[in-house]
Amino acid sequence: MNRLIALFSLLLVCALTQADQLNVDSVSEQIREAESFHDEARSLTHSWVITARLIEEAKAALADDQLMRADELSKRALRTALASVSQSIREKEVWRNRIPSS
Amino acid sequence: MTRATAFLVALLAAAGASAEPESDRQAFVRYFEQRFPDVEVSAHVDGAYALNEQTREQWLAMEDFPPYEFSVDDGEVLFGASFKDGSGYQDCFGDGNVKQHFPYFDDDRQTVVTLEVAINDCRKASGEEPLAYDGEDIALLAAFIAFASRDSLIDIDVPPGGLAAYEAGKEYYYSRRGQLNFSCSHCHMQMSGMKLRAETLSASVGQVTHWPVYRFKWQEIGPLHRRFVECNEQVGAEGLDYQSETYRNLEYFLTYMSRGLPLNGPASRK
Ligand code: HEC
Repeated sequence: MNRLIALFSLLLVCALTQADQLNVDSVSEQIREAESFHDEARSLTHSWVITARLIEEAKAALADDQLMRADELSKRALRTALASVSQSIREKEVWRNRIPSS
Repeated sequence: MTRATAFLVALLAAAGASAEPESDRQAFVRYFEQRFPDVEVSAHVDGAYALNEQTREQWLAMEDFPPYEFSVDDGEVLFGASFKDGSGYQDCFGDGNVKQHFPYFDDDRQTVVTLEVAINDCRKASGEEPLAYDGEDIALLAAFIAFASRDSLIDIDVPPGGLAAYEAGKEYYYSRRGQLNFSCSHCHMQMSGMKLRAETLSASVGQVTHWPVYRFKWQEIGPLHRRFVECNEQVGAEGLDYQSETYRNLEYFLTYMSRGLPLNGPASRK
């Protein structure tokens, strides 16, 4: 029984610290990161439409005090921004394989 | 002797430099000859209508009353008007039969000059404001010039100085892009002739011969770069500005791939 209470308290503490970490600053920072990778992808002419959309939605959610949603959206934006940059890096290596051989 | 050798070396270097675009082009054309043995290469200037009998019939009927006709007329009026300094487009483009020479690589500016850029250069040289690349006037002027250039054969080359721009366009064409992870070549080579959402995919050879295009979807005449944006967005990639360096390089590469084909612009498309 004691062990169970201990476990619950631990879970509670974890949940609280998690919630504590999720604040406007941390989410804003996440959005900035997504933006910066998206800009990088743009400069490589490999940016994706979805990233821009997710960034906009994350900003709107943040402005609307929907912190959890803004967090989720900016995480997705970061994922797609990173994927677009990595696409550009990968393609540098392989695009030539698609040229028909003479 | 040493002079002759030096000359020979220089000649070989020059030949070597432009040999790649030419062998690229031959392989590119051969690709479509093998994929569509029953379709003449020059027939691809009609795009998807060269590959789909049914839509071709409808399209030919539509071309009886070409929807770009008024654009050509309006473009001719613009073309004939004088600038403030008394000169005009004729001083830059003669009678307008010039499209076959575009785009070309300008060594001084180290950049690809498309017809649209040349139109604005012509204006600026006479102290006129440049036209917006996404505006109507430039499309109308291009429509008239395309019409005046009909049946001329694409006649551009890639000088040694232009190779990097050509290569950049070629890399853009063959690179996967967007969330769908498709390259131009996936749709317009490997999948050409197949259907995508009820549309037959055209072959890339011949894709640049007929611009600007009146599209029923647009309800107006629009430039090649507008189509580039649309094809980018179809795969979830962000489109670029019309006449951006990347799109001009892409146009340069694609036009070289269609070198020798007859111009047939403007055209209509769904
Ligand atoms: C997901 C498939 C897809 C990809 C990838 C794609 N396109 Fe297209 N493209 C289409 C479809 C569909 C059409 C309309 C049917 C047609 O004419 O082929 C089209 C039409 C065009 C046309 C007009 C052809 C005509 O006859 O008027 C051009 C030019 C073109 N694409 C160029 C490109 C370029 C350049 C790229 C790479 C940046 C590209 N496309 C990538 C699907 C694609």
